[in-house]
Amino acid sequence: MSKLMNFAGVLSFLGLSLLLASASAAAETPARAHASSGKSPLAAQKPPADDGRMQISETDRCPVCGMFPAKRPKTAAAMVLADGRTFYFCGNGCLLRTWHATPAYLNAPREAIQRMVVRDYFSGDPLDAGQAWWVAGSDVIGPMGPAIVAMGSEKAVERFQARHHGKTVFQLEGLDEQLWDRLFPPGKK
Amino acid sequence: MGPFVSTGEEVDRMRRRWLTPLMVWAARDLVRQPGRTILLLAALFSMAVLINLLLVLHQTIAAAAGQLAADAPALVVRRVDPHGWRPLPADTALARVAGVVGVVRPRVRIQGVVQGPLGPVTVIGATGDVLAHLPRGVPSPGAGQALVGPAVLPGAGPLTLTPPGRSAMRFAVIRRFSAGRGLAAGEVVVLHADDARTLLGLAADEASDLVLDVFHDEEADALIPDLARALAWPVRITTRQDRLGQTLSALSGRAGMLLAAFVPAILAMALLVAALGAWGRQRQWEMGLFKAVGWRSADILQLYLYRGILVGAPALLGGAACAGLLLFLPGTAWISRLLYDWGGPPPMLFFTFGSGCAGLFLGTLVVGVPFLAVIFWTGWQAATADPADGLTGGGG
Repeated sequence: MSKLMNFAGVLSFLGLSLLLASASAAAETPARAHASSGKSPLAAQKPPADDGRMQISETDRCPVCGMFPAKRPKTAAAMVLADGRTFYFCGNGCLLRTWHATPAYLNAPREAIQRMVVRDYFSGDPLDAGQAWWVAGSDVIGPMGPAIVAMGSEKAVERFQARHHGKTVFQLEGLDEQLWDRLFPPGKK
Repeated sequence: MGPFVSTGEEVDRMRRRWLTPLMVWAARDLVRQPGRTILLLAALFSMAVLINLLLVLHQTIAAAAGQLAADAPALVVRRVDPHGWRPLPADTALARVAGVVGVVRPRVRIQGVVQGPLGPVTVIGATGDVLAHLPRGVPSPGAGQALVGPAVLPGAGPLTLTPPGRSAMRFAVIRRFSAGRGLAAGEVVVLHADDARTLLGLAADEASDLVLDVFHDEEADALIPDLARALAWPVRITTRQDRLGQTLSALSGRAGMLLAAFVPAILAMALLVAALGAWGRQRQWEMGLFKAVGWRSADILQLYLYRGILVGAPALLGGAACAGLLLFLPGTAWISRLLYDWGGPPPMLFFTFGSGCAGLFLGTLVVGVPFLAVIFWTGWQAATADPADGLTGGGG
């Protein structure tokens, strides 16, 4: 009888372990999966057009959070690598995370980034992410929560702040680790 | 009458066979009391038609209004003064608004409401934006010509439009929009821009209002103070959500009033329920007899349910179908005028799967569920009653 009980206990333990393992695998984000496996995420089917217009396919997924950017085209952003691969992101936050930690998310060095495209918050026109003005801490909500929005001019930033109270304004060239920690506080996902 | 049986197996076999005969029994029972059955059928049918008409009409108009709002500009800017609406200097307004951060595709419109042959119609001047949205193959109206919606004119012939306080103008109708364009084009008249200006009393450089889009819908509200500051005159600015909210609230108010007006019909339903209950009580002796000869409680409950379904299903389905035909059959626009007191020419309504089916389903549910509940309750009471009580004092 006691052997039977022991056997049942072992079986229960194994079942529970399997359940926990499958649950943690399901919870693993695409980026973590890529980082741990050393593989790159699946690239988008089409790159942005020459004028910056994003050509997002239905099956393209954000390499950071796994969302489908085609369902949120107004907040989408794009990154093109030197080897020709393109990645579309659900929002600017995921683009910035990838820009900041390119090897972790794309299994490629930051130098491999050839071009990044974001959309102007007010007009929707494509902008070069390197030239854009970014505002964080406003009341605008994006697909992943409080949004970091991009704009094409300082005048637009001024009006945006007047309407939406954005606290932090920056450009990519001025985005150092200190500012990064303010935008994405350590310990917060 | 229920057969006498001796063994459990025989009883089970018989009960399995009774499934269909019970339905036949229920049908014959209904036929044996034709007056009561027809009364019940007619009352349920009327209720189903009425409730479905109200719900489907409301759902259909709300869905059409939502679609119209989705296609409409994000913001409409109208110049106002203490007397009401005023014309807008088109070029000046466009220049001032173009400088506001966040404004996308500003354009002016020439449009207003005038009296048509069947009631008020919306006149639209054929400016570039309007021409771009005309259906393929529809020509641009020239001077003295008009494109009209299906509900504007009763038949062929010239169109006479009468602006408030001015003399009437006549136009040659060169094309009618197809009825399939529904609410969007029902009472619309598209004229040459100069004709529309003349009809609406606008000068050559004036427009009736200014409309614009925004890239993010949420930006519409935030833009209003900047727009009001940019323009030199008092303006009334409405967002797409404002307009949709006003429309839906007017519709809901109307639907609520209609429901209140039909309280007598709802009371009739309650009386019907009471009558059904009495029907169950009056026949207690019969149920007592059935149980005495071997019927189970489940068999009696089944008999009640079959009887209810045989009357309820055709009445409810027929009522829903009749309501659908009254609303969506071409040429039956009178129903919306009757129910919603439509001010102008009543629009043709078109069945859309989502809103139409939802309305019909809801309508059938509203009538069907209480009815089935009553059937079940009276059946349950009859099935669980003591057979001796039924046989001796069951009110038969």
